[in-house]
Amino acid sequence: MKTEDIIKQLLLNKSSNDEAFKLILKEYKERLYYLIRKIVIDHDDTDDVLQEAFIKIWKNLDKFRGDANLYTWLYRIGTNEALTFLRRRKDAQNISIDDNPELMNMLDSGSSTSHISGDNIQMELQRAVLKLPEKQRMVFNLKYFEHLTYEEISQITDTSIGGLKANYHSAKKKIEDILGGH
Amino acid sequence: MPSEDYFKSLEEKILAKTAGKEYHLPLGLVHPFIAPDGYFETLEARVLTQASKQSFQLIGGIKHPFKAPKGYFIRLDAEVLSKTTILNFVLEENILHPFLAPKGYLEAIDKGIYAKTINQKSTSALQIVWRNYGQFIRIAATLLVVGLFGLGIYSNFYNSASEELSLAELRTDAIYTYLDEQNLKLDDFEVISDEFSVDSFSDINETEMDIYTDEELLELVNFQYSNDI
Repeated sequence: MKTEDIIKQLLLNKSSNDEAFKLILKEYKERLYYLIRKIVIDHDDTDDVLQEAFIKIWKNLDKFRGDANLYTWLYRIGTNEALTFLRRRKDAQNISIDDNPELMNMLDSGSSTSHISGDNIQMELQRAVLKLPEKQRMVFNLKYFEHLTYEEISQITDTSIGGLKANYHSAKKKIEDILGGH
Repeated sequence: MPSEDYFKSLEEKILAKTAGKEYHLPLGLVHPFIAPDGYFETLEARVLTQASKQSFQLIGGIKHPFKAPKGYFIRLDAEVLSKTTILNFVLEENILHPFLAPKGYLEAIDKGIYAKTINQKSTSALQIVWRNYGQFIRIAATLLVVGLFGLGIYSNFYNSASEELSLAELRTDAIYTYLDEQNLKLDDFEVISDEFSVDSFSDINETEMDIYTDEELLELVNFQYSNDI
């Protein structure tokens, strides 16, 4: 039986919520970490957001509908927490939500530590992604790095599949233009 | 214009055929075609001219007059590659992200999250109190003040009572010794000397009083004193 099915079984009984939560934490912490990290870039910020996300997951276990995919539900919470974190900080600094100067600085400064390590094309790709508008950036990360289907991304972002396809292809084209030097 | 022999042979051929006889071509007949005048004399020159036009061959060793600028070919590779790269860049599907989690972070994160989630349920009662922190502090401060006040009153009462009890337990000679040390005179303590005279004990004469020990006399004094009150 897959881990997700085991967790769903446990969630059917409220008394086993704690055990289900422990299993969720064990199974999904790494995936959620990197999902959030690609959005907020900095490790310490990721740590804060990740913990908040898991607290929210724990508090809302009773609200999880067993007919939906568990990981899309988890990804939705993680993504929303990351975006809320960024928006709150940008509001405080009076920066547009589509501009990411501070994230770009973090990406460049983080590359000098052990928390970011990649070859030239990997770093260039991340810089290009940071230049995308917020929605396109999120969709691109979910499609390109997480390899989710449009149906799954639709459940996470509450966006139509057609809209997602347009967003993704537009994002991909922009990245190719950026990396191509246009 | 065909020759006379042609027509003569033609007549004979036709008659032969019509008569059903075999015809044998006579020997010595010539074709009837005549080349134009001077044809053969000019033919050679014309043929040679036509042939020379169709079979031209480049003689080796002749160089072209063009020259490339100095260093042109050195730059050419890079320029061509860069332009072809721009035109043909396609995002590949397998580029990984560069982010790393610090060593040990993912293994250790469980504990912190448990502390904020599952383990927090056992301290929910404290949490309720903690939420009413301000009110809690005010109540505690009030209780503290009242308690201190009450403690002060009690200790004052207890001390005075215990002092009296302590004095009652003391031997008379100890009291006299203390008074001597402090240069105090018994007469200064009028309560004892005035209130408790021999006359107060009507049923005891002076002689009998000597019989009693100091402790017994003190008891009598206390008893008398309490009755007088």
